[in-house]
Amino acid sequence: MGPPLHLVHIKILAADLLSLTVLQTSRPSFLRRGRTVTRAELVGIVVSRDRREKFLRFLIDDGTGCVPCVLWLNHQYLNANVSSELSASDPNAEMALKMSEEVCLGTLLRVRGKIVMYRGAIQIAVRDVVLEKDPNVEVLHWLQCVRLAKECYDLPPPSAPGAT
Amino acid sequence: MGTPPPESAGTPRRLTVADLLRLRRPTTGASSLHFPSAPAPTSRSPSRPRKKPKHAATAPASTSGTAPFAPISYPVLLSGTLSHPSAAAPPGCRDNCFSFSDPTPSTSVSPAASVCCCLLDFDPTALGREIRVLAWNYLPSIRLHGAAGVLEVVRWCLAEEEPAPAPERSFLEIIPLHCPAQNPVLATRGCVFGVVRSVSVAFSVPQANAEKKSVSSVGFLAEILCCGCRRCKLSPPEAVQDHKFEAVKFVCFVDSVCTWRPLMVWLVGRLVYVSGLMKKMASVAEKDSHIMLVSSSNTAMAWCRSYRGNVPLDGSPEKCSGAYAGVITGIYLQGQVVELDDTVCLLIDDLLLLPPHSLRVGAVISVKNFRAMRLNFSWMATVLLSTCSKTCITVNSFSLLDSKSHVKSQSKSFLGKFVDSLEMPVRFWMLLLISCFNQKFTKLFSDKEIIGSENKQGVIHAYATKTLSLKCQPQRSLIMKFCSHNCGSSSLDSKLEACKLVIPFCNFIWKGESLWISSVLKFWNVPKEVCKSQPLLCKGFPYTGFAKRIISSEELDYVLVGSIETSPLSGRLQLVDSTGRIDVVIPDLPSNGSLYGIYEISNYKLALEGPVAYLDHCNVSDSLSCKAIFQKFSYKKRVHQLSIYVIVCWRELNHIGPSLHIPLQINYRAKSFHLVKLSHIFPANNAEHQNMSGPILYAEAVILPHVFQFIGQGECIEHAEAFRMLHSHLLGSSEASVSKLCDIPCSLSFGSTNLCGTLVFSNSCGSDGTVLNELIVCEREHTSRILLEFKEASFMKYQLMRINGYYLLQCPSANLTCTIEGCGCLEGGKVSLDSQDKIWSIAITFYDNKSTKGTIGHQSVGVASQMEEPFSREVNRDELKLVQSSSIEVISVSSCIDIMKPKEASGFINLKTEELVQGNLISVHGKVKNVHSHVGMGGRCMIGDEKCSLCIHVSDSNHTVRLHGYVSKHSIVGVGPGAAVTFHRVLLTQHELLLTPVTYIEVTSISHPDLTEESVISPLNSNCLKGCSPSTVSPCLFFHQKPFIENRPMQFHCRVATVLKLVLDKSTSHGKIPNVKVRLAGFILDDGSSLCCCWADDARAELLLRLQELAHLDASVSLKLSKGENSTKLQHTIGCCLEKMLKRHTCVTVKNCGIPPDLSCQELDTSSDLHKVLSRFEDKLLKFIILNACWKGTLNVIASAVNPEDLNGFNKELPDFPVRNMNMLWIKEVFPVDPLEEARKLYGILENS
Repeated sequence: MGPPLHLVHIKILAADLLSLTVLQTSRPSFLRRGRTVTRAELVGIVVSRDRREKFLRFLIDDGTGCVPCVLWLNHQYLNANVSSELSASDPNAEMALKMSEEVCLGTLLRVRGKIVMYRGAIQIAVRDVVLEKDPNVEVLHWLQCVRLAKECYDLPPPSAPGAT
Repeated sequence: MGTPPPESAGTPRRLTVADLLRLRRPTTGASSLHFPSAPAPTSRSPSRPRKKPKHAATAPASTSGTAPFAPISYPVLLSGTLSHPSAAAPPGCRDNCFSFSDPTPSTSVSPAASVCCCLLDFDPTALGREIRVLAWNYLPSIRLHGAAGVLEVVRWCLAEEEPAPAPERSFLEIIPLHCPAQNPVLATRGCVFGVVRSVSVAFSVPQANAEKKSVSSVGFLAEILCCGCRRCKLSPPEAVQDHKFEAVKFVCFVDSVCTWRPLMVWLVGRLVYVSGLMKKMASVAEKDSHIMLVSSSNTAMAWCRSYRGNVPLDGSPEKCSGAYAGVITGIYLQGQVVELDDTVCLLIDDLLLLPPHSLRVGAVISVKNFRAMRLNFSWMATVLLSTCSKTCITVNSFSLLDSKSHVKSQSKSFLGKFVDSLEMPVRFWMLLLISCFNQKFTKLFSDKEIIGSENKQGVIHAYATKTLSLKCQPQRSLIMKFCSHNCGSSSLDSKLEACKLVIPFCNFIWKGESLWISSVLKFWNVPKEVCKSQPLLCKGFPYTGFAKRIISSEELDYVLVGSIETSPLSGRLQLVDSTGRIDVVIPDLPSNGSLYGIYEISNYKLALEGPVAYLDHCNVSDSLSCKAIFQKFSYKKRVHQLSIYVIVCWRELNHIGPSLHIPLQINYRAKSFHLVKLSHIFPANNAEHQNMSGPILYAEAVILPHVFQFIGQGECIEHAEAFRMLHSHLLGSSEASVSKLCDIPCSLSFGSTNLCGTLVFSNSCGSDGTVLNELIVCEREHTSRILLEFKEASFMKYQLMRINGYYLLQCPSANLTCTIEGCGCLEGGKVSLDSQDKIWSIAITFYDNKSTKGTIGHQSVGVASQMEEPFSREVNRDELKLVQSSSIEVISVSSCIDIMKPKEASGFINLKTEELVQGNLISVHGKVKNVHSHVGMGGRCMIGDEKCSLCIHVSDSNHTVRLHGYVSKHSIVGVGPGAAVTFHRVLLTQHELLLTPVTYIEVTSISHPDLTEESVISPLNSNCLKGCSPSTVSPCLFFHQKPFIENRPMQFHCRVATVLKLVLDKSTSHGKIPNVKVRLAGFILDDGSSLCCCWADDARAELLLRLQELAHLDASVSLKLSKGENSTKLQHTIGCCLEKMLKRHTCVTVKNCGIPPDLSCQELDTSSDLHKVLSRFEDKLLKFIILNACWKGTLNVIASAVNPEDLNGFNKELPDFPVRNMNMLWIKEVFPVDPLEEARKLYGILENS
C-alpha cells in the first residue's frame, strides 16, 4: 500500500509526467496509477528559455521528453496591498529572480513545482530551481525514479488493494 | 679634502705608519673626537696611548670571519707621504692602492714604513706630498693573508696648505709624477688630449722588439677619447670648448709608469693631457692592428679640474660601458661574486682584475665599464654585471660593518680553468653550481672528490661537462680583448635552459614549505568565510583534514643531487646532503642495487602532505635567491606535520659521484640456506632500538620447513645449474615416502640468478597447481618465528623487505637441517644481519605462468596515474602455499566492518575504564580518505612531537573505518588522502581499530589529488562514523516505517521542503564561526516518497540551513547588518549575518505558521528573548534563511526516531496539519551526496531486488 502522494514532490521522468491522467474537474487533478499527485521533481537540461516581465518559461529535457515550466516573477503584483517598499524587498521575489538567472540554456537543473494545466498541456509551476554541477545527478535521478516507482508510487493505492 | 682639526678638540697624538703596522686588529682612528659625557681623553696618562695598540696586538685576531673595528679612544693624527705604489708591491696593491709612508728621515738608511692606502676624495695634488689623515680605518696585514695592511683614509688634508691658492688656476693641472726631461726626444713627442674612458687591468705586456724579446714588463692600457684637431697635436690645449672627443686612442703605460694605474682609474671620465708618448704599432690579431701610444720615461700627465663632461657611452652592451654605484650586500666565493643593493650581482672572476682591498660588505662602490645582462634562469632571474678587462671598481665609502677582506685564491685548478673558459651567463651558473656542491658535500666527501685536483676532474666538473657539453675555449690575448672589445655573444640564452639549480636540500625543504604555505594561504584567503566555516567532521567534531600536493620536477627546475641512505631514525630511504635530508621513495628499488656515491635526479615528483591548517604568513624569504644559494641558507622549520618527500624511479637515479670503493661482496660459495617468509616489519623506533652497537632495525620472519639444495658442481650458488626444494620431512625419510613425491618443475630467481629446478612435495598437487598438503598441522608445529636484526650495513636490505615475501637466509653451516636452532644462525631468537649478502629475496615461477609472490621488486609505492608502476601487485589465486597462511592475511575495510558488526550487537564496553584494550592484530587494506590530528579530541603529542595522535579514515568502495593511535611522523609519510595503504598489525577491538607501536604502514600507491577545495573543505563524511560504532546505515525511504519501528539510524536522501521552527542562540564557545548556536531546528524533509518532520541542532542544523554558505542577500540587508564596516560589496555567510543579529537579541525563536509543504514564509512568528522587536531587516533575514534552506539540492541525512528529551519541550506548538500526523526523526548527520557513488549503490540495490 502506497502512502498519499499529494504532499510530496514525486521524482518523475518527463515522459511519465506528460502521460499523467488528467481529471478535468473545476481544478484539474492528476493521477498516476490512480493516485493523486500534485507536485513533481525533474532533472534535465534547459532547452528553451523565454523571459517575460511577469514570468520565465523554459523547457526541461530529461531525455524522455520535454516539460514546459513556468517560474512566476510577479510577486510585486500579488503583494499589491502591501506597501511598495516592503514588496520590493520580498525575499520570495528576490529568490525567484535569482532562480531565473540560473535558468540558462544548456544547464542541468533540478526543478520542483506544482503540476498544472495550461492550454490543455501539463506544465510545472516552478517552486524552486537548483543548478546541478555534477552530470551524474541525472543518472541518479533516473535510478531514483525507478526505485520510487517500484517501492512507492506504483504500489496499489489504498482504495484498490490487489490492483496492479 | 678636509681642514686641520680644531685645536680645541685636544692635542691629537701623532701616529706614524710604523705604529700602524704594529696594530693587529682592525682599528679606526680620528684626529678629533667628541665625548659628550665620557671622561676627557686628555686626562689619560701619556703612556696610555702607546699601550693601547700593544694591548690590541695581544688580542686574538681571527684570520677569518669578521671582527669589528676597534676605535682608538683618543684623538690621533696620522701623517705621511702619499705616493704611487711601488712597482714591487703585490699586484692587488699596485693596481688599486696608493702608498702611504712615513716621511723618510734623512739620517735613516732603512726605507720608511709604508702601507697601502685608499683615499676618499682623492686629489692628484696630494701625490708626492705629505698629508694629514684626519679619519681613517686600518686593516692589518694579518687579515689580508700576508698582504700589507691597508689604510683607508676617510678624511685628509695636505700637511702644508698650498703656498698661494692660485686665484686663476691654469686650465690643465700638472700631476706631479716625476720631472719630465725638458727637451723631449723626437720619438716621444706623441701626446693625447681627451677623456679617459676605460683602463685595463695590469698585465704582462708582450714586447715585439728583438732586443727586449726575453723581457716582459708589466703595464696597462688606457682608452682615451681624443680630440683629433690639429691644434691639439701642436701645443697643449688651453680650453675645452673647441674640442670634440671622438677618436679612440689606446695608451699603454708600461714599465715604471705601470704604477699609475690607481691614478688612471681615478681619472676615468676626466679630461687628461698625456705627453711624452711613443707611437707604436701593436698587432693584436692576425687581421687587426692598432696604433698605440706607449709611455716612455718622459711621459707627463695633466688633468683638467674644470671639465664636467660625460663619457660618451658605447652603445652596444657587449662593448662593456656603463656605471653602477651601490652598497655591497654580500660577497661570496672569495670575492668572485659581489652582491650590490641586494639585487645585482657583480661577477669579478677575471684573475687579473684584482678588486680593491676595501671591497667589503657595507661599502659603497662604483663600477665602471661592465656588461649588464639579465639572467633568466628557470628558478630565478637576476641582473648580472659582468666585469672584464675594462672594468674599474672604486670605493666611494668604506665599511665598518665588516672587516673581512676577500682575497681570491690564485691557484687555478682544473675546474678553475674550465670555469674561465665558459661564456658569461654559464660561468655564473657554474659558480652557483660550485657553491651548491661545496655546501652539499664538503662534509660527506673529500674535496678532491668534489672539486677535483689540478689534473683530475671532480664531481662538479664532471657534472658540468655533462650538462653543458662544452669544451674549453682558447683565451684571447688581453690587448685584443681590450682594444677590439667584444664581450658579448647573443647565442647564449638557449644554453641557460640546461642550467638547472642543483639545490641544497635545506633550500629545497624551505622551498617545499613555502610552496605548501602559499597553497594553504591561497586556500584560506580566497573565499575566506566559506573555508573557515565548513570543516570536515569526525564523530561530529570538526577537524582539519590532510591534503596533498604533488609537484612534478618539470615545474620546479631544480635537480636533486645527493647520496642515498637509510635513516636509522625512521628506517626510510633518504636523500642526503650536508645541508639536509629528504625522504625519498623509490618504487622499483632493485634487490641488488647499491647506493653508494652521489646521485643526480632530474626527473622526480615532490610530494607535500599535511593538514590544511591556517598558517601565519611566516617568513617566506626566497630560498632560491643568489644570496640564499651562495651563503649557507639558515633553515628553520616553519610548518609542523608537513611531510615532504620525493618520489623517483630507480632508472632516474643517475650516479655522478665518486665511484664505489668497496665492491659488493656476494658469497657465491654459500651452500646452505633457510627459507623464510617475512611476517612483519617493525617500524623504526629510535627510542627503543638505539644501543651501543649502532642503530638497528627489525623484522619478523617465519622459518619454513623447506630446505634448498643447489644442484651442480660443489652444490653452491656459484656453479648452480638447478635447485631442489625439499620439504624438511623428506630429509632422511624412508624410500617409501619418497616414492610418493610430487615434483613440480619451476624456476627460481633471486638477485640476478635464475635457475630451473623442482619443488618436491610429499603429496599430489591439484590440477590448478595448488598444493594440497596434508602436513599443514605438522608444519605449523615446525614453523617458528624469528627476529631479523638489521644492522647499519644491511639497512638497504631492510628497505627491500616486503611482508609475505619469501627470502633465502644464508646459513654458514653446510649442514642441511631445517632447524635453525641447530645451525647456529639464531642467537637469542634473532638472526643478526650485518652485511648485505646474508638475505636474498626469491621468486618462484611455475611454467604455467603462475608465480608465487616474493620478488623483492614487488614494490609498494608507485604514483598511480603518472608514473608507470614497475610491477603489478595482483594477488595470485594460485599461490602456492608453502605454509598455512599466517595471521597476516590482509582484509578489506568491508570485511573489517563485518567482523566488528556482530560484536557491536553484544553490547558496549566502556573503553574509558582501566581495563586493557583487547582484540586481534589484523592487517587492513584500504584507501585513505583523510587524516587528521587527534590532538584536539583527547589525543596528544608525545616525545617532542615525534609521535602524534592521529586519526586515519580508510575506506574501500563501500565502507569507511577509522584507525587511530599514536604514530611516528616518519611512518605516515605517503599516508595522505587517496593513498592505498595496508596497515599491518592494527588492533581490532570491539568498536574500533587502533594503531599500535608495532603497526607497520605500507603504502601501496598514492594518488595525487591536488589541494582542491573539495578535498579540504567539503564536509564529505563517512556514513559509518557516527558515534563510536562503525556500522552500516542502510538507505531508506520516509514512507517505510522501518526507522520508527526498529529504532536505529537510517539514511535518507532528501531535500528541505520547509523550515518549521528555529531556535537560534548566541554561541558560548569562543572562536566558533559563525558565533551562532542552533539550539533546535525543525524541518519538513521531502524524499519523494513522503514528507517527514525532522529535528536537528548544532552542526547538522547549520548544514541544513546552509549557514556556512555565502549569503546572496541584497545590499540593503547586509549593509544594515554589518554597519560601519564599509562592506556593501563584502559577501558574508548567512551565519555571519545571523551572528550580528544575535548580538542584539541573544536568542531568537522563529515559528513558521505556513502550511507545509508550501514554500511560505509570509507567516513567521518571531520572538526575541530580550523581548525586543525584530527590525524589518532582521525579519527579512530570517525569511531569507528559510527560503535559502529550501533552495538547495539533495542531501544525505542520517536520522533515527526522535527521543522526546532531544526536543526539550520545544515541539509543543507544532502546526496542526499535516505535521501532526507525521513521524518525527532526529537528525544525527548531514552530508552531501556523491551522485556517482549513490547511483552505483542504487543500481546495485535495484539489480538485486
